[in-house]
Amino acid sequence: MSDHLTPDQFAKCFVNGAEGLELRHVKECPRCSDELDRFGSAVALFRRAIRGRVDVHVGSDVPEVSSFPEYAPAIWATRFRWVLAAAAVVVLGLIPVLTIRTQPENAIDRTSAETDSDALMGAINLHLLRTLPAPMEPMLALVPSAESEIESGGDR
Amino acid sequence: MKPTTTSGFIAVSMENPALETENFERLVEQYRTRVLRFVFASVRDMDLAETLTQDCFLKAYRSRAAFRGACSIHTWLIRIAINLVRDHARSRRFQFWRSAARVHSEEIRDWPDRKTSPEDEAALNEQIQAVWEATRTLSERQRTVFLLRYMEDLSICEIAEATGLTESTVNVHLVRAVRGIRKRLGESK
Repeated sequence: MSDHLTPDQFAKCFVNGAEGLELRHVKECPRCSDELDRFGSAVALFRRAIRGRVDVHVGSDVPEVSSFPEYAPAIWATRFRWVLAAAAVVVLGLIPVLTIRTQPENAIDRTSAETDSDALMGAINLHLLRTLPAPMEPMLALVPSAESEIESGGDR
Repeated sequence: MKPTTTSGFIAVSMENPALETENFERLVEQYRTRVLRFVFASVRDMDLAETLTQDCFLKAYRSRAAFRGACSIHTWLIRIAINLVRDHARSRRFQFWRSAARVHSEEIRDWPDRKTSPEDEAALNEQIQAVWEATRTLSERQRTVFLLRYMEDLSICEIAEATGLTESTVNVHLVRAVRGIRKRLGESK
């Protein structure tokens, strides 16, 4: 391939990932590689902006579902009301006893819960570091490996 | 005599429990953002997008008995949303685009703060606006497949299910959409 990617080849590379001659060209041609990178960034930016805009909108209002019928009260809630009340009294009475017996276990549970939350925060941070969405990952194969690692936050 | 709920709606026996009347509110909560996002990106007007999203769930609720589970609930909802966006654009072709152009700058002002300098933010907004403007120049099908792929992360197979097109046709529309947007971005520089 002597010249740069044609518009069709460029679009196919972006959508499906480059193969064969196109792949070799993109790896050797900084101009086409940069162009793919720039286009991918523009689409990713647009995506983030729309998602952010909708997230802000959804976060600022209450979902309107008034057009749907109200739910019928759960049958078990009415039929077994007295059984539930008695069970609640028994459970409340047992709480002090159970608390004393299970204190060491609770300490272990708390530690594991903290570890879980650390792991969760780690996973969230890792996810947030990704700047390119999944559909654009074919493109990552087209840019030099060091850049790929930066773009994907090293998560590959 | 057909069984009814306490609110008078006809109780329909569902194959998918998520579509039962009792679970429908949860389904709305689960999918509302995704449907709204696609509709907003398509019509570029948040008020209109909200209305169409509500219509989408109302239509889904009314036709839930017809859902056979051949595709995922998300794909099914997106298919309804695509039809609503298309019907709306066709019924109000002229007012629709005029109104979209009017609200565009207002919507842009509401972008979340990205902690950048005013100059950088202006450049970013310009880039976002250019891509959004470019999607407007695409055909309806090209725009739909582009948004579903790059906004909603749907696979080619899922897009084919949602649009009723074959996978190869989806791919062709996607390639044309990318080519069109790139051309438009090149012209706007």
